[in-house]
Amino acid sequence: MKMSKRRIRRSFTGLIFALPAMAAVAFIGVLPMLYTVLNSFSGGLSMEVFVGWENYRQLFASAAFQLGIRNTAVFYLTVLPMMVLLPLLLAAAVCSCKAVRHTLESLFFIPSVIPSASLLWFVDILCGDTGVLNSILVKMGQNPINFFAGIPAIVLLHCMFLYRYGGYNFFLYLIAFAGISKEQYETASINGAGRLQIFRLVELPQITPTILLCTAFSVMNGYSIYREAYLIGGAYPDTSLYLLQHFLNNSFRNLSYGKLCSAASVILSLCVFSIMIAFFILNRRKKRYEKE
Amino acid sequence: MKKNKSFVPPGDVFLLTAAILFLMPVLYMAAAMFFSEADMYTFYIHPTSGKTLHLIPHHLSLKQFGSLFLAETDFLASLSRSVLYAFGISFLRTVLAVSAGYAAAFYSFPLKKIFLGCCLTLMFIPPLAMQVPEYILLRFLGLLGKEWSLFLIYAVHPVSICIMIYAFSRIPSETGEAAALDGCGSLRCLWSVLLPQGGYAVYLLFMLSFIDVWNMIEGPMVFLQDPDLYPLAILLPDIMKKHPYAAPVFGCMFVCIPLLLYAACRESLAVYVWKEVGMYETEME
Repeated sequence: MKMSKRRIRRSFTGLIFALPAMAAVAFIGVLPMLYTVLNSFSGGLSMEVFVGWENYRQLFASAAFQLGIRNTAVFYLTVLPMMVLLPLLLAAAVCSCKAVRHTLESLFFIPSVIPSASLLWFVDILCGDTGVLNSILVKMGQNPINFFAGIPAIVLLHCMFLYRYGGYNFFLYLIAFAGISKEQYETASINGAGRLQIFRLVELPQITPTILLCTAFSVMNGYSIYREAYLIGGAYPDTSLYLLQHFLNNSFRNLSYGKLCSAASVILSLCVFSIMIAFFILNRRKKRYEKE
Repeated sequence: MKKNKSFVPPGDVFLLTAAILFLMPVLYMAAAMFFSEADMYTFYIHPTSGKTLHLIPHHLSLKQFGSLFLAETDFLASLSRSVLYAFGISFLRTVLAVSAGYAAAFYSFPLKKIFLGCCLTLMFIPPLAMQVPEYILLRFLGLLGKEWSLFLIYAVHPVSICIMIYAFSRIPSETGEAAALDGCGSLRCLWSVLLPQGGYAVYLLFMLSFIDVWNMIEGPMVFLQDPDLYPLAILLPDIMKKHPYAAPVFGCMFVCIPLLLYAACRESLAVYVWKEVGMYETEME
């Protein structure tokens, strides 16, 4: 079929506008990604020697990798439900406020704008060896806690993550709640539904896609947790804070581990991909089930 | 039932209190900027019986601000580098995203589906997983250890492209067609017709990009390799440790630029919420 001149011209115009981004995505995104995959199967300084699964075998034998992947998995498994639920409850509560709603929206979003490096001063004042929390513990006759190691460090990392990135999910939920029509709330109220029933029967079914979106965003934001972990413990933190990102960053600096680094990158990407695909499949099935 | 309009519900009061507590880290830091050296030592640096939080100083002082200009901290130079990186990279990201978003939302072009597929895939690839090949690419281009390496690597941001595609696809295609019928070229149509309508998304994108780049740590450490080129996000903890007396003022100065940007873009965020639910026009009327 012959394409009309107009269609060809439009296609050309579209290509001209998309070309910078296409070239950038290809050279800075796709090619490096393919290189990483190929590099993970090769030995030596360049990629001329194919070593099969050897790099992966070495990777899984590495104690640092095992520690990193265990801590990262625990972090994601514990932080994701909180990142999805807490902003949801907060947004639901803020939406039911009439008088100060807009003020609350701004105030709760502001922590997302605050750089983690700036928070460090407050964290040190609050959780340091002679910090406020330890002072309280000592006054109560308890032993002081090292908040930068062990379980307290993990809790601190979770708190910093929730504080720093919870605002984005809160914002997405606000948009979802704003999309629910007033009539639905009025109908539910007339039928005698309380606040909890309205949330369960009216709001929750309509914001399910946003919950999925928030999960995806939380997974992506989780990559940045290295920044907070680095600021708390540096490049070689306490073992409880050692994440897969630390392994990637540290092994990257050590050239002999370059291949392991590539293999770890592939593993990390595959894990994230599997989680996201599973979420999307579940969401699609749920939608199909609801339609039926 | 009669409602007392002047009565603020307890739920609102509770949430407002919670929101203010949320901002406590910044409030305490902002208050501590005006503490004298003696107060800083008494309350925070070498307290006699544990640190305690204070909002009101014993002695008001502006001496901490003088530390910003100390040559040994190099604070202002690092801050200006951060501003340069954040503005430059966010600008490049926004231009690339607007251009690609416009093309993908209003035109069909060869390889469009592959391009969109790549963007979606890359969204979920951890940035750290790409460091090895990016490092090799930069070494090949001779950009390793130079500021331009950051601009090149961070300008490509698939999430930004997806946000702009989404924002433009919300504008009816008839808008662009009508502009074309009136003799608008593609560039003019984008600049004069579509951008004013999707401008809120551009502000939002710029702000989110700015905050992201403002906080970057891992990329500059690997690609710049020279502390003289590092942004403030990496150097700030060390500067604060070296000058504990002036730590609050350093922290606040680092916070204030993204906060100012947020204040400037706040209206766009509100518009974004209302646009999403198609209520903006009726609200404005």
